[in-house]
Amino acid sequence: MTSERTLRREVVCPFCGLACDDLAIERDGERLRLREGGCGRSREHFERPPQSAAPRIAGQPTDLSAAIARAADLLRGSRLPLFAGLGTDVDGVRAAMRLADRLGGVVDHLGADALFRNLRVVQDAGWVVTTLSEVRNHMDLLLVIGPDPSADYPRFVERCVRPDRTLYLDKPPERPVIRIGPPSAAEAEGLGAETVLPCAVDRLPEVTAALRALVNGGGPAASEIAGIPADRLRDVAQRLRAARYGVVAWAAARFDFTAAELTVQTLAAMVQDLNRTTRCSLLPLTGNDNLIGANQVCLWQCGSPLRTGFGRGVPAHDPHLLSARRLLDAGEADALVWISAFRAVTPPAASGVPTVVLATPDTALEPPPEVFIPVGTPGLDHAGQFFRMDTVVSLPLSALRESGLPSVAGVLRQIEQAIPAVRSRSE
Amino acid sequence: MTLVKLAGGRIVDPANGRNGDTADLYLHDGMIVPDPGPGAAIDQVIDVTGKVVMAGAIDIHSHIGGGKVNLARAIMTEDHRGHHPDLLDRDRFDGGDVLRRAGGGIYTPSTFATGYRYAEMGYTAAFEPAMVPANARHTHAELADTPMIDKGCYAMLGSDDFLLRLLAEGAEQPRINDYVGWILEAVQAIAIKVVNPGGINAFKFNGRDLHFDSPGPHYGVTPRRIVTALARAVHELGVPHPLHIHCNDLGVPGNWETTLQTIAGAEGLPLHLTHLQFHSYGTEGKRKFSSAAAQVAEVVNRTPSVSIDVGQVMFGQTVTASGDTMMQYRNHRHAHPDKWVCMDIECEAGCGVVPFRYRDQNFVNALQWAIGLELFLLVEDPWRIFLTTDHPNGAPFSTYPHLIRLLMDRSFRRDMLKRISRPAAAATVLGSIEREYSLYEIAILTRAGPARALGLHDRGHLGPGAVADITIYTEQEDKEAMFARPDYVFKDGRVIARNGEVTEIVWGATHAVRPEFDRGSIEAPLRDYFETYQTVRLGNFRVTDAEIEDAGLSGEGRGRLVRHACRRIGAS
Repeated sequence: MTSERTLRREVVCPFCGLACDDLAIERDGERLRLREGGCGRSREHFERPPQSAAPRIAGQPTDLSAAIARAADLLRGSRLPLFAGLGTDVDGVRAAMRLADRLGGVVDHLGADALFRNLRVVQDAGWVVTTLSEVRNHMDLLLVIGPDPSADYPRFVERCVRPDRTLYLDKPPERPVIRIGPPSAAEAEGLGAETVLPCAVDRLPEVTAALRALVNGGGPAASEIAGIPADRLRDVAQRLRAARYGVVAWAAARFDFTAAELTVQTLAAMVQDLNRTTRCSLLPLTGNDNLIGANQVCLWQCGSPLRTGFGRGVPAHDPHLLSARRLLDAGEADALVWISAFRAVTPPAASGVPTVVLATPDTALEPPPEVFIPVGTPGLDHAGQFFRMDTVVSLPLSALRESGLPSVAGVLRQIEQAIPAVRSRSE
Repeated sequence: MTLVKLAGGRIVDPANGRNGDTADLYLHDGMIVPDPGPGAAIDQVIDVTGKVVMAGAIDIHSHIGGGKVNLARAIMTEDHRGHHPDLLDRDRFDGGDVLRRAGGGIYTPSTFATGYRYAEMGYTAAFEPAMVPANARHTHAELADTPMIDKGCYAMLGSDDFLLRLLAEGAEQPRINDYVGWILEAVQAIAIKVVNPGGINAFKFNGRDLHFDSPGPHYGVTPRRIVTALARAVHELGVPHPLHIHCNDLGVPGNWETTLQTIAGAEGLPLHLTHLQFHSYGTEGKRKFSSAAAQVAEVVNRTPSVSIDVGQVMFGQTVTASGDTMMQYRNHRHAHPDKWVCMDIECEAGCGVVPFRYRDQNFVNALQWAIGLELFLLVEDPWRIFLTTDHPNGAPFSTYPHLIRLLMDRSFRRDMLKRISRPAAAATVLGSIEREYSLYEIAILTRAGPARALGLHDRGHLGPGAVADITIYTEQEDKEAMFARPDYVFKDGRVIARNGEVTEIVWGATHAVRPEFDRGSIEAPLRDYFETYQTVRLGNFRVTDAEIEDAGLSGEGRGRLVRHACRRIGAS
């Protein structure tokens, strides 16, 4: 271990879907300290003391090769192995895809419920979307639907909503921010919307439907919708129509109500309508744990999104039938590989299903799984690639220290190599 | 390394002027080598007596990877229910890297399926023509997962705010050259593409059209200025492939005049006009939509600085994926199925994805089909026209064998013409064109021409020193059958497909140019631009050589980067 201190700039933070890349990180031995940029969350994750944990089999410490051999044994006998969590870099997802393809498994991600609230709308009707630098420079009105997203995406306001100058203005742009959703006591420190139209999250379907009707010159007969006076909604609709580059943002992870995709569809249709006369775009706030990267790799490698299975020898996709939660609850999966390399996320309860966990060393595991292999975090312990929420930009992650922890890709590759080459599915 | 002899084939190699003479070909260490003479120890003889031997085919314009392609896969669930040529092969798990991966799709094939389908047709290289610089890392990651073929990307410029600012400030040409050179290097591209010059930027300001001499919003820069600046930059940097241009007004009746303005606007500088079929429309007739292929071809024929590819339309379901948000928005009302995406991207570009079904009984679609074929048959110099469908925009690349038959077989072409919308058939001169392409000319369109146009000196031909990318066919009356299933396909000297079936999985190289430019003068303003306005820093925008060379799964070593030097021309 070296005692030399080094400072590295333009470090990418992989701890939310914004993937800010302006951090300065100081390395002191194996400790990392955030010196510039970043937020509370990035500080917590970068400054977490490095832990060196040994792999475990059924809770008993062992060495890596024994753990890999045990994992390979479990998987080679499985008829439907589930690769879930999938919180890893692009290479980690590639390795999981390859193994799932080879073994007839299913791939899912811990954030996929939110992904499909959005993706099903794109598949049914399409949408008009934008990216973070367009928002930063072009936007002249922001409408946020749902809770204040600042807690989940801490630097969204700083980086995209309130820049000092833009490509088109030398001074901070005047940008009205409107939010429709549950009131927040911390609004001023968070999104800082000047206008908040308060309503409960599960009333958003009717509010957004009314808003779309108002945008199109119609409107509800009622004087209020979910407690919001119709005149105030009419004013929002008018401002969207008058904006030259409006942006409508929401975090689908917070749309935890029945048929939330219909609300996303309403927003998508409203923005399509607005583009007949002016410009307006959606900005889905998402992408934590490299959710977007996992979905992108899955799409390019097999043509289908996450929740694709290879059990029939060809990729088959179903956002409901192939969700990890359902496959475990229904007893259909007979092995679980749980992957979470960015942060400690405990695997879902999977009673009776042999489980292999590839996760950060501090992950709480009680009862202990069959196999636990502590892995490094991409962007701290090893290099990698991470996709931002807007799906366009992906960023390089670097190794900032030498923890000795293996990567998810490396471990999965070794597991694959430990599975005998010829395997008939009819066994 | 083994010495392999391909014995008795008929060599069709236009780059070396060979038109079907019978000769042996020798392969050593992945290369074509001279006849080693009597007494040489030949390790393997493959008897190809009487078969047609060509270089591996090269697709100069095919949307095979990157953001818009993956978005098209996400939307077109229809293409991934049932279209699975890569069925489970129970014996395929015979260890390590020969694993043949599941996948599928026809107009939105997965990366693995893309490589397999190209190889099965005898293609050994394909170039992604619209890489948004901000999306470069993603695009290269997809290409790293695309097996069998060589690949490369054209970086999209011309609606990016940095360039428009330079032009609005009246920057001198050397400064533009430095920026273009910097971009080519930073995103590992082999050429520069411009899509609807200025138009993608104009759409962000709610511009719904932008003509060649119209000043764009905010910056007041005309498409003409953008085209001349970029064409000159590419030329002066010595990039082998000229500016690759998707003109303004794509798909708009009457746009043939824009096409001619663009050719004139290049002021004699080399220019490649892509998917020209979509830019050769007139306004004649009661439907106000007509073919202007003859007028456009006539100008192409007398302008030797211009090359083109066609972007042929074929009937059936596909999806259009383009950087041209302005025109994709305009066309969304034709979406079939009815769903569409438009995306503004990073103050740099955009993308639009609109599903489309070309119908042979629809007047416009049928005439589009005819216009493409008219261009193929009316442009005289086969060295300046390349075979494309603008995959997947006109049709999937897997329709190439059918297209080749349409070009080589006049009676087949006339039979097909009888099946289309009768008013469209009456509005095309196609039926009166006698020309049939020869095998030699097809080899120019699909091998020698694209290699020359891209500066790939050791591809696209069969002379000593060429990379041993080779396709061997049995000549047949039915040219579609002939070109669909070559007997042998070699990549880097190894047999990768037999009789239209993949037999070995290999990984091709990524090609990129390395122009010289004044790094000092451009990197400081760029660094400031990124820090002030963008949400990515310059150092993270850049894609390093190592990212391509180490790409793919750790340790698999599938990435290989071929760097092409450029010979700088003109001013400092």
